[in-house]
Amino acid sequence: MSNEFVPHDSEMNELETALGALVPANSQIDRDRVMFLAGEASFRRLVVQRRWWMAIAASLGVVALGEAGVLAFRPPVRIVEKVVVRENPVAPTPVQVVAPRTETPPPARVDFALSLDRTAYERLAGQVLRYGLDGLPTSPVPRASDVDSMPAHVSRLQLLHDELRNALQDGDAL
Amino acid sequence: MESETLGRLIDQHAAALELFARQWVDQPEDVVQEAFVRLAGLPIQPSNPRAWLFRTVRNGAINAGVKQRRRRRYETEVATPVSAWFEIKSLGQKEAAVDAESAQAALAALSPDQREIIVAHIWGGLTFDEIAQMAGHSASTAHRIYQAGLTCLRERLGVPCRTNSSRTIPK
Repeated sequence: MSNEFVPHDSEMNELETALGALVPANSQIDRDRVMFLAGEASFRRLVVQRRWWMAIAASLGVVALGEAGVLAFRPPVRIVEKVVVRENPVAPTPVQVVAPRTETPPPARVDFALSLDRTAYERLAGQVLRYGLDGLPTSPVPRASDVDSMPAHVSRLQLLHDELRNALQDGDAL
Repeated sequence: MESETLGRLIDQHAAALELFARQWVDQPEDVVQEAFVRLAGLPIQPSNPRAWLFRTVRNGAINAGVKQRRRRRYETEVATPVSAWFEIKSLGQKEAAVDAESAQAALAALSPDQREIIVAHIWGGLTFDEIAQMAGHSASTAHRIYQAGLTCLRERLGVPCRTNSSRTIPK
């Protein structure tokens, strides 16, 4: 009996010693039965552990058998050739953002130079307005037979028409 | 656990454990036996088997005492003979300084805390640190309760006592 604290007075020590001299009553437990139960409990624990490992091994074996079955009875691989037509991806159409229409008053004066490129006639008219008659392209010389065979007003119209067409086709620099 | 070790523990501590468990339950043999069986079935042995046994017996005896009191509430009270806590010295043996029956009566009159610590320390051989771990006190508190219990025992065995306890044995 170890006493890590400071002992009490002598009377207390005597009482402690006297009480310690008393022997507890004999144990009523059956020693052999306790030993048997202890061994049984230990064996039961071993059996539980062994069954645990057996269960793990059995489950792994089932998984391995399944994998082997899948590998054995897997259908052969078929190579299928077919032509795949790939279409070029269509560029997405730009979304036109429609600006809300606002009621703006028409411009009071339209710049004439900005409207030169609208039609061939207007372009030619603009050329004349800007450079005078020198800006007109050179007119082709009409053949005498053509001039003679058509009336006067028709020949002038025809000449002007041809001149305009040449001017449009040639794209003379301004 | 080896059978030799278990047998040695039974021989050394079974009687003290039964005395210890008798504070809470009338038939402590089952509790002590179950504690030894549980000790043998542990996968890892405790570092201090004696302290482990006393703690296990304490918990088991408290639970068994609760069941015993609940059962007695519904059953007819039968006068069962109170078994002796200590060995009665036969003629020819050296007489102890304290009479066994007087010591049993004096111990039975102590508070449960005092009786538990005195039995565990004197007959169980537990240190106050081990008692503190078992009972949930600090070691200094366990020592103080032990001293108070000894003082009461001294009064009941013939010497005046300075402290008085109002608690009684759970029956």
